[in-house]
Amino acid sequence: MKQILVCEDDGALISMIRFKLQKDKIGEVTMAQDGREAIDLLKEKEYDMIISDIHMPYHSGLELLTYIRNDLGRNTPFIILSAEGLEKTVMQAFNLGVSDFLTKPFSPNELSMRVSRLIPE
Amino acid sequence: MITLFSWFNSLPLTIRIYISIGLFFLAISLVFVLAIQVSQLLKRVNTRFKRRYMDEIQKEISLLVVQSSMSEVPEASFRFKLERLISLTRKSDYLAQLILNEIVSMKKNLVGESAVYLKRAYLELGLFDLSVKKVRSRNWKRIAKGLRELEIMEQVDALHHFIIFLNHSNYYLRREARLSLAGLAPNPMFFLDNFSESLSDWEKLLLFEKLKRRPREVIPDFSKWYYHQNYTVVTFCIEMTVQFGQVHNIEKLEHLLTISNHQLRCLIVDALRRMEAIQSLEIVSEILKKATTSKMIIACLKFIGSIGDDSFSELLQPFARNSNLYVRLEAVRALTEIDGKIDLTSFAINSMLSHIKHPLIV
Repeated sequence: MKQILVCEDDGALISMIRFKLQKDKIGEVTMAQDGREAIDLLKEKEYDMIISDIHMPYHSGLELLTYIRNDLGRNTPFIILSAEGLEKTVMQAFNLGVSDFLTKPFSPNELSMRVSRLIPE
Repeated sequence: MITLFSWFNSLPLTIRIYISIGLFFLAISLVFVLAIQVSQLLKRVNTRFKRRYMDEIQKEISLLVVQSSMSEVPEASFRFKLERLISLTRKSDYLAQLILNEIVSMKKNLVGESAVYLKRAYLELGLFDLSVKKVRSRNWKRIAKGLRELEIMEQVDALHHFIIFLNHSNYYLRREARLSLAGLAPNPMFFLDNFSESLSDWEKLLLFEKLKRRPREVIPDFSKWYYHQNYTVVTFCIEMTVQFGQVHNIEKLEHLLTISNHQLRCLIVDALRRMEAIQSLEIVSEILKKATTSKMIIACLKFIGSIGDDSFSELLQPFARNSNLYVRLEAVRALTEIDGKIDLTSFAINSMLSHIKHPLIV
């Protein structure tokens, strides 16, 4: 079973993403409610996929992405979820090496499709 | 007790007063401590109660949305999952409110089939009535919350609830009603027609955020309010013209340049620049020739710098020798952008060029 880390501070949304990805048999979801918790989890274990909100307490999604790419040197597929679809933010995320960018509100079916496309076999 | 009273009475009057005052304050502090303790206890009980149900509610709503959309018999699956939520809603108003909060919070982030199921659950659980009840309350914060819930759950049938708050005495309710209408009404900005108060920058930003999420076909033609008596409405509409790329309004914006309000004219030149209105080059160069204020000169220089070509070099040259430093800087920047000839022998041009080309400034 693939391991997916979801970093999101909205409890309701995190619960929905977890059910969707597990029901679609894409992977097992671990939750982190802020950037600090996500970094702690990443230090302990390597995940097959990371889905992160852009605005989170302590460390933003972009900071988390930089940490994974630069400090941990991992190429784990990374999807950013964001309520703002500003061109500048999207460009910044892609420059930092994000695999995909999804703007809120989004469709859970679409998220599931994007995750399954990116997750390594 | 009697001995204590007789001992107290035997004391001199001053001492008795001191002791009484001391006892009085001691009693008050004890009451305060007790109140704090009780409030903390209630809060703890509330949090524990909330946590106990929260996980269950989140799980049930997630299952309702996910399973219904995946099931081969979606309707039956939806009904089955809804039953559990109905029984929770019936348990207490507090639980119904928790479910409402979760559904609203989830709806904000989801679109598609899932959002449709959430809307159905909202109606079938009777949560719509809960939102309307809030709108009818006397507390403005509750009213605002109710309005927001109705808007997020896209209850177009409840539009009349928003409209009655457009002229309310409370500013926040008026603002909430406007924002909700911008996010929900088929004609989202109709309230601008008779709008007389000032639109703050913050509200303009919030309105734009709401409009951004609306389908293109409901976005109004903002030129409708270019000659509105309210200055803040006009500036908002000019900005929205740019943001929604209403290039068909360029000509109307050019006509608007004939008005006397100097600040607004600068804003229009800036809007034309951002819309890359190449057809306005001639008008803007004429304005530049007659411009007297540095603000207008700078706006025109920026416009020509980003849209013009080297044929405007001659027009820009004198401004690079202007007495105002900012005008000089903008003129040199514009000249470099249009690849114009910079003939400034008496000017420390190299240092200025390296300054304006610095990555932190550009």
